[in-house]
Amino acid sequence: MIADRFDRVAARQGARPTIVERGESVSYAELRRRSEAVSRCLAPFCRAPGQRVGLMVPNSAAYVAAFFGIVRLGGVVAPLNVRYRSQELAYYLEDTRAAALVAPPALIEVAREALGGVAHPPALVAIDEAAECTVVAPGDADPLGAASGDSPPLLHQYTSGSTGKPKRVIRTHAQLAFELERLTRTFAVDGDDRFLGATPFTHVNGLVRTMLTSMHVGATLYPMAEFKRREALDLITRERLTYFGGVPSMFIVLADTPVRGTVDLTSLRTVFSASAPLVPDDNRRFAAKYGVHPRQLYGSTETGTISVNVDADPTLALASVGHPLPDVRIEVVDDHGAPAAADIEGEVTIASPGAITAYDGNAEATAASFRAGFYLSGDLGRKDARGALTLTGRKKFLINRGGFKVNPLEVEEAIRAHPRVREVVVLAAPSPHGDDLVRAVIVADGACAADEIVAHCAPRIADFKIPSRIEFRDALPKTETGKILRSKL
Amino acid sequence: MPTSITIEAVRAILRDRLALAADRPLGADTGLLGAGIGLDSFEVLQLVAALEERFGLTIDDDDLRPEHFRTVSTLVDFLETLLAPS
Repeated sequence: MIADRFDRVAARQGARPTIVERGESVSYAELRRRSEAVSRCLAPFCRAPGQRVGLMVPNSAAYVAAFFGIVRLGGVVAPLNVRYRSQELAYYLEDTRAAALVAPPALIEVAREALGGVAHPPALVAIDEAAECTVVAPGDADPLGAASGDSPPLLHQYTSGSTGKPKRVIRTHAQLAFELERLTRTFAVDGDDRFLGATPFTHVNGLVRTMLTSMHVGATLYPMAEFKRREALDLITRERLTYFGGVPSMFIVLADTPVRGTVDLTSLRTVFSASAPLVPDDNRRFAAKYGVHPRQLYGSTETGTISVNVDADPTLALASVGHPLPDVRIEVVDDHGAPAAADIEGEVTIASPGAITAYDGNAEATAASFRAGFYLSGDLGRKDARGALTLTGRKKFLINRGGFKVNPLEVEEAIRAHPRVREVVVLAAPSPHGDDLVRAVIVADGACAADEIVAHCAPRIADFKIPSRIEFRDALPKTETGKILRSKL
Repeated sequence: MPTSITIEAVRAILRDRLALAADRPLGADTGLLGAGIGLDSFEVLQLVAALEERFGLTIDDDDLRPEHFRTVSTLVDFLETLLAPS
């Protein structure tokens, strides 16, 4: 159980710092004490194990104390993005059937508004910087029955598919314990490591690969409530941080930022980029400035971490997401589900003891995405002869143009190179002949004609890939997290 | 002495670094966020990094308040305060 593990690590590490924020350090013993206080405050709302508790707190010692405070009660943490507005928050609270919502004072107002839209509102609990909790409203939650299954649930997350409502992903203690053990072994991290907590702990990347990984090995975590360029560089330099798990936009912006004063990132032993591809050119620009190449890591909400590129020489395959973690299996399969040969593109499928085997309460989505113990990621990729994986696109949006399969990402990339194209989505439109037409929806800067787009594409991509339907819009419909809602196009 | 900060220079950076079209209107009163040219938080940081490099400035991320990015003109005013002797 994750809480037992934390308590054991805390007992062993005692006075050593678990969190350093705003220059002050919090010991493991103190963080454990704070998490026990959170447990006492939440206990009346978590009488039976398996109760969901929404956690809408920025990266901080308070977040970590609340996380373990909930888990110690047998509760299930439902991390909620601190940027949600009240309507989005109400949807997630209703859907998770949360027993309580924990939020800092700055978010109590938006939380109150959200509770007004929930039939059985959870208790609202304010948490301050020292992780002291106050019940703001007792709520009227409709308690869930006790959880069943071999390993109790730990995390209640969502994955926003490109179509339909967000799917519920509930991961268990055993699944997370597996992932954390394999991650810490792969990165060879231990209690002497110092972690930059730059990505949000309300998202799987920051939560599992930074916060929980740091606590798993008894390391020291430096949380940033929001990402600030020079604060990140100063922290790494001054505190000789050793671990930085980021996302591509962080590495790109740091590569663009002029260095002021002393910046020295040579203490970093583990640097990885996850959640989206970091293109080799951006990787090289970051490395040219700071002397370290971010490694690409591949994971999903459904499976947790799948693979990471830890090759001795990162420059040999910057685009690769590397080999699977120990005991994780990656199969690249063709259209019939048969294994593809080395270097041949196919759909990436994953079997892992860390992965879910079904979406919660969604048989249709489960049948579409899980088969014979494997999760069908919808990602396209190829494995080289050594088994290292490189991602090449997304299968789920493939366009079938007269038997030719068109990868819309490739077409989007070609169109995006046009100087006046700001955003573009390429998708299938039904043709009168039973196959698909290639359709592009473009947000342009200034005047731009369809003819220009076609002329621009002609020397870049095969003729069957060039869109025959081109539309211009003022904006594209997006989710709160910035994913384009293809279903609304 | 740092280069003087003009609306024209900021517009050039917006066009070069954020690939804004040459024929798209970009005057002193053009909004940079939301309904203007709609920079997102990542693009704001990219713009700021480019401004720092061009003008030799250091801009604290804590100072990236929306009111400074209301228009090209308010951005120029903000940048000038950074150059002014304290």
